[in-house]
Amino acid sequence: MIRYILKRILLMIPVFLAVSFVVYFLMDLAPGDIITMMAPQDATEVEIEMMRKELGMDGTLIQRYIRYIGGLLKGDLGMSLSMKRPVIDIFFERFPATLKLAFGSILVAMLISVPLGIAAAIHHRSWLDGFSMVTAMLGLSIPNFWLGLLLIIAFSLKLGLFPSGGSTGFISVVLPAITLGAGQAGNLTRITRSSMLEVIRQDYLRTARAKGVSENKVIYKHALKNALIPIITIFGSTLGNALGGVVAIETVFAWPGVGRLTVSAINTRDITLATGCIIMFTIFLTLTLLLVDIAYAYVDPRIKARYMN
Amino acid sequence: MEIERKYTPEELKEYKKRSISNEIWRNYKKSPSAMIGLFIVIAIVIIAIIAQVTFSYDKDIVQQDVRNRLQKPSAKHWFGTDQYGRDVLIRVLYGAKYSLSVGIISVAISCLFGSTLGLIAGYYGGTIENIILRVCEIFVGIPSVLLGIAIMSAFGQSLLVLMFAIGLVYVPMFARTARAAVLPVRDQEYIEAAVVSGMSDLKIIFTHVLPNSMAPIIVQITMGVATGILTASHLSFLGLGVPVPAPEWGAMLSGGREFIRDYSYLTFFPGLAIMITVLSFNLMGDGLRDALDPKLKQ
Repeated sequence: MIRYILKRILLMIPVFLAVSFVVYFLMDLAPGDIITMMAPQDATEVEIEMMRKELGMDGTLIQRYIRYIGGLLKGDLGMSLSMKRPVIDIFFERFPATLKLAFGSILVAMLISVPLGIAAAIHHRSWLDGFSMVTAMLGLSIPNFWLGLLLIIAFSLKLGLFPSGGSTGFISVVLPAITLGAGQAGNLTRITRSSMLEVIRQDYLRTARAKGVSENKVIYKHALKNALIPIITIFGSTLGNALGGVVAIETVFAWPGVGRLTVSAINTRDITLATGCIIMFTIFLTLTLLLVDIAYAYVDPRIKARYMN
Repeated sequence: MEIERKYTPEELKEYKKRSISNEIWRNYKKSPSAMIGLFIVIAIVIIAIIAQVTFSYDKDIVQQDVRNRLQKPSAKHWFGTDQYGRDVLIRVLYGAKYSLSVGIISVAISCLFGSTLGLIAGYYGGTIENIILRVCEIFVGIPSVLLGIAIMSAFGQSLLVLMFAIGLVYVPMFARTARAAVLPVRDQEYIEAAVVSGMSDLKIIFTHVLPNSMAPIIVQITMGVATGILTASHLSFLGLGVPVPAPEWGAMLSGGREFIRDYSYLTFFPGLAIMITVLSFNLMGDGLRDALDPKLKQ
């Protein structure tokens, strides 16, 4: 198991390097240059060249990238060009807000989808099943930034129950978390339902019923435990989707997270900040997927046995 | 010796008529939600075409009429007018063409490249498969909207770049789907027989592998159009998609945000249009999945 985890972590390194190359290259292609944007109006060529050197932006693309990658391999994401501070500091200042939002949305998604999916499966082909499937489909199809705006109109402008933006304590996370969680809930409901439906048909449930176990116990003890396994695997990709979705949600709710930071870094052509943020996103995502795989092995002894061999 | 016939020649003829596409259509028709999806998609396509012929882009879509600005929905302007006095209903109808074209063309791009890569990876296996999967992993690691934004800012904002950007973002998804679909086919005996009989790899892939692994790819195409439309409106909402003043739904929504307090209809209608379009493609995808593989239906 340990060897497997180490192997997975080592395999991530080339992926991160490749991500850094793709993003750095794309950012370099973009028209406009942060140095000329930042330089004072009357700056001479020589002064601009000096600024470039000072910020490590002189030389060809390849030279700059090699310098960047040299720092990256030592764990240094470089300095933000626009804020003149280490990228890593800026990122971690704003990361907790994004994490709060992402986990809040997953909590919302789980609270809606697990009960709904189980109820739909138990009452297969009933009106409840139909209702939950329609809800799930709507959740999957609604543009989340639009849902966010609708929630703002209803609950903050009309009813005044929640703030319309900013991060001010628990109450401010409610609307953004619901917005982001709705789409995830759609997906999770469908997965919970189909996984539960599959389990319900298994022989061991028939055995349990035959030996006189009560119906409630059959569902909640025997069926649910097994049905939850695929739901855990989805956790990783759900968190991934949540992190991808934060970009628009943070814009809608003026949320001080890394999604908005990354977009503004891309727009201002702050190459180091943009590349650094995207690399951090990728690292976080891949590590989550790894953790989920490990958790998966512990939950399901069948999978653990496969790793052992 | 007489061969025992299971079917009479007439029966066989009848059986032949029930081609695969007929069979799929028969299954597809059974699902009401799938049919609703199909009808809405057809309706949206017709609307997009009619709007394109009836309205003039310069006169009806982008020309400003400040005297009529910000009028609430009425009999004259069903969806009201925006901050430049333009009719929101006409703009929403005309905007269908952007979402449809971005959705369909970007999926065509990602399907073409992604499925080819996936087919090659699945059929040949070994090192090639490893390389293709590793490259896909790189792109999957970057959140799709961020990758889309980076591509848009690198190549500039236009409808064409948007299609290309979204197409590229979803190549790995198609590659993975196609590879997973090929894997069970690869080990079948009929493939082995084709190899032994000296068929070229290309011919085997096109005549045996592809038709037998088509189903998941077709479903992915329909769902991909939905995802593509969502991502495109997402990027336009962030100001990085189709440039204004084109009436792209995401961009209209973003433009209406300023007026959300008093003129919320400006954000309501474009968003509704996005949702209906995405929903109908999703319904179609679901129906197709069930029709292509009735065993999966629960």
